[in-house]
Amino acid sequence: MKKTKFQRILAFVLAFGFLFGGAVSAGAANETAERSSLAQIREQLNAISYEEYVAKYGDVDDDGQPLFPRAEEDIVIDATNTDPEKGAYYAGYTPVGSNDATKGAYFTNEAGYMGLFTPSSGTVSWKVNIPADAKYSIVIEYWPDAAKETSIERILKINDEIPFAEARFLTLPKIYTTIAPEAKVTDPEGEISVQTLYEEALAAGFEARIANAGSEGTYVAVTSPTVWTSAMADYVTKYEVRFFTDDIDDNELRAKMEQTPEWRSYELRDADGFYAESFEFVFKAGWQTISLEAVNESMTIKSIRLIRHQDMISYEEYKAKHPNATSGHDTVLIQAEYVGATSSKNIYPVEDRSDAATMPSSTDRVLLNTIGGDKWQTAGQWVRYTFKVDSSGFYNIAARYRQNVLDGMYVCRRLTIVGGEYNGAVPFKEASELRFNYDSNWQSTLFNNGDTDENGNLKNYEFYFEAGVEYTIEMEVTLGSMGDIVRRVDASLASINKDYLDIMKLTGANPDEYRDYGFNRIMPDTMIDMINQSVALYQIAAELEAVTGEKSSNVATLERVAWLLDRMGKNEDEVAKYLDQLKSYIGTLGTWVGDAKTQPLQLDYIVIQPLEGEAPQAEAGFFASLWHEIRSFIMSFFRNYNRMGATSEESDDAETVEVWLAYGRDQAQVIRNLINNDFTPDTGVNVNLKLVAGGTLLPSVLAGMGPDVYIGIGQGDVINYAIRGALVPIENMPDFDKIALGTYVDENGVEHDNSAGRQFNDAAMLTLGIADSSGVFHYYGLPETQNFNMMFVRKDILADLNVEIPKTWDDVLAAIPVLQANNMQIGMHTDYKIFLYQMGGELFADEGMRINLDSNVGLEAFDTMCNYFTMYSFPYKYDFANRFRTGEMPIGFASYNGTYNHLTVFATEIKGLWAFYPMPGIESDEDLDGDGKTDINNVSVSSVSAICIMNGCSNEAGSWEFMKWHAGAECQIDYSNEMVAIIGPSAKHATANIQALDQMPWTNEEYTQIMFQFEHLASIPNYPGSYIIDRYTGFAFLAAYEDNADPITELKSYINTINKEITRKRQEFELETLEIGQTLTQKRIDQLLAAYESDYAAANEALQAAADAVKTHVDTGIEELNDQLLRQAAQNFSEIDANAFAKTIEALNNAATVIAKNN
Amino acid sequence: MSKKKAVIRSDMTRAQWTWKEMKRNKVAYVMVAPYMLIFTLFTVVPVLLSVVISFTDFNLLEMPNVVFFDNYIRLFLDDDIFMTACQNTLIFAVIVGPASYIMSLMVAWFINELPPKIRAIVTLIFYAPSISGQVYLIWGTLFSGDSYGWVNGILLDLGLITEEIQWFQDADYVMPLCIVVAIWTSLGTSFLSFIAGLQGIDRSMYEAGAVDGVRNRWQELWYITLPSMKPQLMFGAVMSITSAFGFGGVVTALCGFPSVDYAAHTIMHHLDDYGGMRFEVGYSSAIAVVLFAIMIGANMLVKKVLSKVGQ
Repeated sequence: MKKTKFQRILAFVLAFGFLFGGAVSAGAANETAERSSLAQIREQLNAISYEEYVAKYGDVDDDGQPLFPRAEEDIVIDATNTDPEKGAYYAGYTPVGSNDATKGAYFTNEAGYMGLFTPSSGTVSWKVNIPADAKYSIVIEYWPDAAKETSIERILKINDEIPFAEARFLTLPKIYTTIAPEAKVTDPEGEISVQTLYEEALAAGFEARIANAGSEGTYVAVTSPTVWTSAMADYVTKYEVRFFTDDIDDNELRAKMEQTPEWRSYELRDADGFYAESFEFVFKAGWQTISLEAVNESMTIKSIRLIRHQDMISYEEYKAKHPNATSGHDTVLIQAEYVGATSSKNIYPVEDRSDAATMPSSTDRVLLNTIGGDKWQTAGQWVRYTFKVDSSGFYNIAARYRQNVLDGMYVCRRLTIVGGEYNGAVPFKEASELRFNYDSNWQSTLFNNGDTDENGNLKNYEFYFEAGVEYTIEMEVTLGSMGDIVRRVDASLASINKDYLDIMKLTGANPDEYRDYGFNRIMPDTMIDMINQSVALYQIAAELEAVTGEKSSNVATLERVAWLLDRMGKNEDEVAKYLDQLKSYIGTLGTWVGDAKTQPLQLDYIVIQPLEGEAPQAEAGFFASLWHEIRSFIMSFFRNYNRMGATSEESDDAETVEVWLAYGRDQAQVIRNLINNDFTPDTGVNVNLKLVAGGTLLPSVLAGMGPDVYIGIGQGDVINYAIRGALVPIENMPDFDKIALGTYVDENGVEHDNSAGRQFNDAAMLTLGIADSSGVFHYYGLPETQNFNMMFVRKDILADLNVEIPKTWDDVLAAIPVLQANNMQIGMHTDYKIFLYQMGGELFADEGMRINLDSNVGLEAFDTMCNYFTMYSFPYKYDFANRFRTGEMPIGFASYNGTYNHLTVFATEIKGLWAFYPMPGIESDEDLDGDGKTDINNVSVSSVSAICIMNGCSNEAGSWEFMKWHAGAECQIDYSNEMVAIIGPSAKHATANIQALDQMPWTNEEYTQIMFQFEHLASIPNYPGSYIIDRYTGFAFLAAYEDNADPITELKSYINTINKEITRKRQEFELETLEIGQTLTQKRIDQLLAAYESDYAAANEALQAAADAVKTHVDTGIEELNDQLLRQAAQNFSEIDANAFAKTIEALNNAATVIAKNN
Repeated sequence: MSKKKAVIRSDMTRAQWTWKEMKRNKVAYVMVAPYMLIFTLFTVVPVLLSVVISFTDFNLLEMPNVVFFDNYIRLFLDDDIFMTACQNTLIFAVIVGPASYIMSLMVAWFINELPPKIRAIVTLIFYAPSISGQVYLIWGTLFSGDSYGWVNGILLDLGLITEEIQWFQDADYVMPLCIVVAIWTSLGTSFLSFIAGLQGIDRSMYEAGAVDGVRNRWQELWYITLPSMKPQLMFGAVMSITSAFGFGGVVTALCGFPSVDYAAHTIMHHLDDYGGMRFEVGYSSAIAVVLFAIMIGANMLVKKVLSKVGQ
């Protein structure tokens, strides 16, 4: 059907209208954009679980018919339809807040079909007319956008309401394909000619050519196939064909993976994998709104289908479809590392050297011979293989695998097939949870789900494949039957956690076990709930034991918690006694859930084989293993771990830039790849990257063997090294001011504003520079990471206590009584600097010559900080992550990046219940940003780690190029995304590059908060002697905290000591210093007076001499008058200042001339 | 007939004699050479070097300048914290050194009475704290400032305190706690050498003693046991003194660096402070030289005292 011109125009106008509407409302929402209000949070959090949702709509009417039956007919929503006449239609886009910089949603044809592009923020909605009350499953047909390396996350709302909690975490996978390089095939013995190899490759169906490798002769270059056949598999096995590139030591290098978007349908289901089946949503008859709110990443939507939920057929029904088929006769062995596509970059080929039977295996070089492991473990992650067979019939699928993580449990994979009769769904019910058991060694199995036949043998499933048809099998991580168990433990945990908080609100975290709190009277519900949870956990433990067939430690954990709950619930006297233990059990249970959610599986290969075949050999024989181990041990002396991944020989020539970094191996590997792929080709500068242990820099510089460039040096050390002449100043390097400063001067000497082009903010640069003894300011490094504190908040608890998320310190003060009444705390470091900078003060005065803490603002800031601990009893020492997890500490100020990473992996059970926000601020009377309102100053103090050039560097220009590239936006973006891709969401990198920040793998909401704080940062310059300040302010604080001393008096008593150390340290570097108690202004005035005085004294003396000379002559009347005296006096005056005393000098000279004449 | 006269000491100069003796004993020199080489390279040279550096303003990164006695003048006349450090070090040495020494001796003596198999096990139990490197960190958990620290938790539970105590951040508790930890970890090498010494004593001496009228175990200890193991006693004393003066790492691990109000700041800390944090290696070498002198002095004193044993 062709669209009319009118429709197109209408679509355009509508799209524009929404965009514009968004912009207008954005302007008005300025104040509320920053922190979501309690009402919003409640709305977000107060959703029932899917289980309750199903129960709620599961009622039947009087005739026993369900009120909400499964839908009779499917409804297809064309995402781009805007015409209500044609049924379901697109109802527009709503942006989020004012900071929404996206273009909004728009129709696009880029991916081959007309679709609706939805950005990474904001909400898109459709209206749909439902014929009758019914349940539907929802299938979204989408095109993932190749932007960041994070998955697409959406919240689904029906009529602007979240139907159930799980609908908040819908995750739509992306598609990654390996760009496999050509394999080089030669016969190692040299017996088979290249020509034969070539012909065999062609015969097997490969794309191949004969290539010339220069001195090493010719080889056959084989292209990695997209569809595997048995001939190909045999050829690969026979000649050990490896589709990898090698480094100089013949170690295989990970091939590049790219997002390869395609139109894909995804039936909405639980992102955690707790529910095996897809969700069924309840719709009432009439026009309803379906909205998708973006959390992360953009995508293009083609259609949304509301479908009737289909039950899967059983294996018997499946077999019955091909009653006459017999076994196929073909064997296709696919090396698992040659994966067709994966759902995430995490899943990449990894090395296994643990068993000689792994195909292929080597002891002297890295072979990336397996895939998966602990990278392929979270629900929804899949790998995909494509193949075809030569004869039709039933086949077994076998795998050689290892699952050595989940002790006493099994992991599950969901198998779907595309091609021929299969439409991409699970072929039969049993294939939705194929089971892989635990063993510390490699195992092999024919695909089964643990079910046994009447003889007690495992039932191996047979799959029908047609000859010559391409089939794609997809193995997706699923929790299977464990999902239900884990979900129930998770629900139980939430409930227990709430019980704990309820008790703690009454008793505090350290209850008195001899006091009668009267729990039964005060909180009967909590007591009953504990007993209920105990029963539930016992029940789950029994089920788990039945399913896995053994009483593993996992069962024991559940039973221990259950026992404790039973004890506490039934004896109110023991509640107080066991509260602390309950808390630690909550942690244990949280870890249990986190662990049980992971389903790691490492694959060596999969085989599609005839029915009579046995499972392949799992482990090598005794002697093969022994030989393998001996060889491994010997070869371990010869493997060069330091240069793993280097593709060119190390060279010592002066042009090669030697770069050291003291991070982990993963980081080094990623940076090395980026250098090989981007930096060296672009600039021609060769880089020698070395991974060193921390603390190596100082000895190596001392020995004169330091690197050219060092990555990851702390801001304090930058100045320590720089001031002692060990670093190269970089402010005169090309483009320095353009990337690092707020203004730059072009070649004509004209100054330009650079606020849009700079990559680092002032707070970062300030810490990396210092003035030398002649007062010239130098910069010594570019910032790599920048870290600062932000406010972490448990949204659920604050909503529960009715405490708004604090914006100012006054709000914090207001929250304290509410929290403390519930025995909760706020976690704050003893950091007065935040108050100091928020009050508009600075730590140093007079260019670092003295400390500014004796100023009014300094003392006030310090006093304010101390008061939080002395008056409001903030805890001084605490483990934030732990207390945040239990809810004891619902508000805390902590380093945004480290804490985020920690909480992401450590406290998975509170996912979605917390968020971070900018620091609370101090309301100032001034209008800082000029919007006509007084502002809140919520500055946070940042610290950076830097990259710098060491003195003695042989190629400064090249080093600077590297530095600029590494700290630059492009490299930082690639690096961050790569780290998250290979390590996971807890590997977020705190880049200092503001241009790179929006491409970092943060969600839109997180990005908004971080960006806001980035714009409100201060930092403390590293003047000589800085180290002494924290030491003495620490002493002053402890005196106030422990001995109730007056913080101000205490702090003042240390001011002179601090200033003395600063002065001493400055003298060491011949920098200008002040006397104790002196200010720079005073010193300058004194200098002025002294200068004036000395000038005046000299002039006076000269004048006196001249006057004396004349006077002597007049008084004594000596005839032989000496005019030389007067000339000397004139000379003296001109030495003092020829201009100022011009008249005097002239007069003296005139007098001398007269006297000379008289003589 | 000319009889070759025997060469005697007085015929030669001192140097000649030495050379001759050296040649005669060259095998012994060859045997001692590896140790001497390593000892010189890694102990003697650094000590001498630090004496040299203590007269300069070396900062690890730039060429040093000679400043003569400036570092020492500043150390003794213009450094209050050094005085605190000296005081703390002496307190440590005076309490921990003898206490651990006597404890080692007593424990070794008692253990020596046990049957061999049990003795081996008990020895291991007592020796364990000092071989398992970081085990003193258990004290960090015990006395953690968190309200969930063990001691704080117990005291709070018992209602003895209402607010957690920052054990290792409170100037009142730091020093005593560190002394306790130091004594706990100090049953080290000296303890083992005592056990070895005790076992090496000839049993017949005791019989002879009994015949000669030793009346009780104390007399046996004083007149027979101790004099017979003087070399071990000396070794133990040197180890105790050195470790008491060099005590620092444990304090840093427990109390942070520097300890609150310099309450447990020892000379070692002071040395670290200047050498590590402030890059003033010249000054910290001067501190090291002073510490070295104090240790030598203390060792000589101990030697004097030990020579009185058995008299």
